[in-house]
Amino acid sequence: MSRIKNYIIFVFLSFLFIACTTQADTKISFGGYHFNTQKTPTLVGSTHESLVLHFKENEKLIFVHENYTSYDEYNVSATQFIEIVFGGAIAENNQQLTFLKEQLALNEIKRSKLEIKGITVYLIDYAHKKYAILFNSKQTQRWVAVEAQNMDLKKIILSLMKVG
Amino acid sequence: MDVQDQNDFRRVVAFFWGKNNANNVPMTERAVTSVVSALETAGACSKKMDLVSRPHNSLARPAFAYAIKQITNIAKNLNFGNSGIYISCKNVVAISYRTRIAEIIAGID
Repeated sequence: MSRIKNYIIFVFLSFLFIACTTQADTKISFGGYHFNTQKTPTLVGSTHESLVLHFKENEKLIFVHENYTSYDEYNVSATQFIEIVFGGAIAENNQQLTFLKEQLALNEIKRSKLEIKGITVYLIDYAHKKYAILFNSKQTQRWVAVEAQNMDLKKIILSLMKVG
Repeated sequence: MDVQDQNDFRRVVAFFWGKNNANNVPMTERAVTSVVSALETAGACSKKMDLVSRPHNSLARPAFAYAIKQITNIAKNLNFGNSGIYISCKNVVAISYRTRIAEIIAGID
């Protein structure tokens, strides 16, 4: 009888532990996209063009809107700008754009390109942060940049759902 | 931070990240030291222009008095240099620290 009682207590405590440690998904909506992360933010900040999420253990996720008008100084289209600066395409006869591309690539560890539901995603890993650009070819004048610190950004990006 | 310091700070933030962000950035010691700290780590272009301050200690947030001095110096140089490389250096900082300025504006950097 005592063994059954101990077993029931053990099962009960196990369920209690799982209930306490399992966190629900957090759905994040930004810039026309939805993302999921299996973590719960401890601090949230936002402006009209950015969203900052802090999690436990110094994990951070930062979303910002970028607008091509801020960088339109190279006589190329927004699509070409993105393909050169983040996609690694060659900027023939465009010394200034090549310089920008090279400077942004300094200290880069890894770069990859994904196509998710019609959205082109450039993922760039630096030593202390991971960076992603979400570019929709139907909406070339603006894009979303996401930075993650101490988090698996690729996993979050793979959860991307385009709203609408 | 006196009015001149605030104007210099707004000019520096506006130059790199646009007027909209300059109007939203808080006028606090923490915001100033965070911006200077970000600009210091943008050392890639420091040899090509005087807009980014030289690193004093990349591991620590700079002291406020030092940060204000750096902002004053950077603000003074904003009128000079319109070459292509200069513009690209500005954009290197703008893109690299766009998320950082978002944190500073949100007040949770």
